[in-house]
Amino acid sequence: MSAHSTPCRQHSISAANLLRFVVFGVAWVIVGVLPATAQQSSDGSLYSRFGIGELRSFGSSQMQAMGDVGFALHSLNYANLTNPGTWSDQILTRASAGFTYQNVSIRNAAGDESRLGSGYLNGVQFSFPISERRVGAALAFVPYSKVSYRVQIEEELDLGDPDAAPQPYTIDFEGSGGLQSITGGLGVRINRHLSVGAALNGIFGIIENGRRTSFIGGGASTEFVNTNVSSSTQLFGLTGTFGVLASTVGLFRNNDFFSVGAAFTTPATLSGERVRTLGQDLDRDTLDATLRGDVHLPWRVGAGVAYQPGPSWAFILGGRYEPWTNFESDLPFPGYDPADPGSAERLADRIQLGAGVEFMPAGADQLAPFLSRVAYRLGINYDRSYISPVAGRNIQTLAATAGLSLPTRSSGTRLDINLQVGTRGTADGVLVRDVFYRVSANVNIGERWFQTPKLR
Amino acid sequence: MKRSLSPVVLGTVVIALLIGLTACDDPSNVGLGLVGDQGGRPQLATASVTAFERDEYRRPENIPERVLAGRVVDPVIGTVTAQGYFDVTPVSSSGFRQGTVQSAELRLLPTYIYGDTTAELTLSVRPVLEEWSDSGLPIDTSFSVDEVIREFTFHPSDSLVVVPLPSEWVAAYDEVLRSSQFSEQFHGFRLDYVSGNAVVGIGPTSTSLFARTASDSVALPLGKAYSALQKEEPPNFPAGRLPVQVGVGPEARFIIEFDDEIASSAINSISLTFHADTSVPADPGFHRPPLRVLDLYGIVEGGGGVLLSRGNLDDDGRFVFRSSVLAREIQGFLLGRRTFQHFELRAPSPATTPNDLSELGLLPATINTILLFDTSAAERVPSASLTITPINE
Repeated sequence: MSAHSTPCRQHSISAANLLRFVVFGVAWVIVGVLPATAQQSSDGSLYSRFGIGELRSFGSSQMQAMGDVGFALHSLNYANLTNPGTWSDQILTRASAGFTYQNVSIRNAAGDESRLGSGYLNGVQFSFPISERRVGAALAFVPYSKVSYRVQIEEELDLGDPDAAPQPYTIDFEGSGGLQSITGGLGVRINRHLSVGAALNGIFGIIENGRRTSFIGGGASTEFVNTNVSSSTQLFGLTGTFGVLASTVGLFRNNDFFSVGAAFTTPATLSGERVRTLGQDLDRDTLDATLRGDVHLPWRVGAGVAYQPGPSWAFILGGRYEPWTNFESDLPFPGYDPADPGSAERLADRIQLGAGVEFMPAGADQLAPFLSRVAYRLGINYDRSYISPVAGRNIQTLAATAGLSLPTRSSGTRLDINLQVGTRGTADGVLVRDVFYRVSANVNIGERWFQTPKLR
Repeated sequence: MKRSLSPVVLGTVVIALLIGLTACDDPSNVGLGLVGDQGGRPQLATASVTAFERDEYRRPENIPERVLAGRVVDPVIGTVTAQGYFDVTPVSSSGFRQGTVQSAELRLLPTYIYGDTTAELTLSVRPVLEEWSDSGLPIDTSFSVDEVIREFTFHPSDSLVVVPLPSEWVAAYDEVLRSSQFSEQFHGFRLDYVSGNAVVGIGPTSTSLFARTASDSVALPLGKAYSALQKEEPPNFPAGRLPVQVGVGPEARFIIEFDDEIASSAINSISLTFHADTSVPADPGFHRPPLRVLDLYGIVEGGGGVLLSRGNLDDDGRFVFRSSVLAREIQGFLLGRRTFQHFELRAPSPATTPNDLSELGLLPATINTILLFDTSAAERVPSASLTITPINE
């Protein structure tokens, strides 16, 4: 929960520990990831269709419940992926993974509504101290952006035969995929007030947009072949993140903890390949030559403050800025066409703001009753999207977040259940208003590895 | 005691609940304005069937044929003459081999007729003098035969035709019939037309060479069979029609011309329609069995055929070829994944339909025929109708 937390168990790495981590990882992949992938991967917000998708910024499950922006949030129980400067202060080797279910209710200007549900992986993290509370490392695999939408229309085809009934069909416009980020880096404590860190991020992924025509009903429909025209864009590139964390104890009162953090991510150039295919049920044919080009992502900067007046409370405030009006791409994306000068009017600089609070009644008392050791979290988040379907109309997201962090038998391990409820966009003209809720489950495991017991 | 949770167990339970929720989908057209009009609406299109012409008949391999014999003069289709070769399969019986053959007879079961059903048909029987195989033969292959053993006359509606063989032939073939080298020494019979106006089919079941000694008798069942067929079309063959006749030919070949719109579209369905002329006149008592089933093949480079669809003669006198396999193959053809030189209409063969040819009335061999309207017909020309979805919208 906070920098005041002190783990009490100490033991060396063992085959049992290693096995437990492996089993944990495999179980989560099987139980969480695979079924979610097997179900709909295109049932999210329609706004995710534009650009490279809806940007994601998962820092930690703690941050997710506290407004999602916490560049100064520092905890021994979580690795803060948004700021490598926080990685220096680690005691336990940590692994975490999480899964989110999202339900989106989409309403248009006419009041029509559709409801879609989907699930996705929050991310997988692994962090460990190299030199306890001085040098630490982190590795993570987290979503960078997500494309997940589906619109369906149902119509009938007049077969031109007066004796034949019209053939019903549906057209699904859908998108799936997105970019992922593999991050690895180090954090170093310069002195007791200042830490810095750097990370290398590999950004990669496949974005798919498709149009599926399906014939429904019995009889003649069996003689029809469903077709799917889709484009698949594969992207890869590297970027770096540099972070700093400045902190002090006893600023306003005894034993309080105040920190300021910031992170800067360099611009990235992603190499892209786009392939257009025509699929007929299980068959898939490439339609034309592969289209190649670069996609230039802008730099991003974020900053925040965190204040912990004592072991029970933590407050954070933060913001993020990304100049997406500088976005350039050789490849066209929905809402952006390099050949169309008007595309720039659909771009906007992304601004994200967030604030949150955490309360754990027991503070650092590991022997307190269960409910006192639960961490209760609340937060709010504002996000102005970097791209809009309509020129000059910003798409804004406002969300409230909440979460429970449940203790386990192992003092360094917690199960976090988070909830996000929010709205995105407005039902005006062609625009729609999303009302979404997300429920997340994250397991954070922390144990002391790589240390020989001093007493035998 | 400190209460606590197993994170893996609790996490798994929560994940299972979340996954259960993901099934609640209700997609609709809400937000279609954000997607824009990207097309995707299927539409109807037509393609031209051209170069619709006769093609040489290819006799299927290794088919368990019945024996066709006779001659039929069909004033519309033409004259077909059939010589039926057949062999019999030896049966081992020590009692039979130790005796002397006293009598022998052919027991022939008529199972098919094309022609005059009211008049008698006379055929002759000759022994074949050379070894022969029933595979890989052109349709009009002949083998050397001996003198006529005997002629026999029967009515095509007879349930079983028994042809006693002369005692001279029996005496001459006594040792051969009882020999353990029977297969090497005996090469079967040929049935030739003598008089009448029909081609009949014999067997393949309940047809045998029956021989008797003083103490035993054997029935040597029909073995391999082959019918040498010749056809001569009348000079006044109906204009605007293309015949397809199984056994003797011809078959039909054609190409499909797709325009640019179809070539740049996804194929959702295709329907090929060929109209048959079912009003061909026939004299009373003249039976012209129609060819009711046709297979559509795509001919790839090298001449091999890919079965694409099967069409049955419907109540409106049409063969309509329509299947999802056909649509996929045509899509592959348009995308260059398949290279069809042309398409063909053939009678079903055992190579592609080994199990149900009997049900279709096509096996054993027939000379069933159908007349198809060709591309010069006024209204009932061959046509291709498609449902397409433009790709580049």
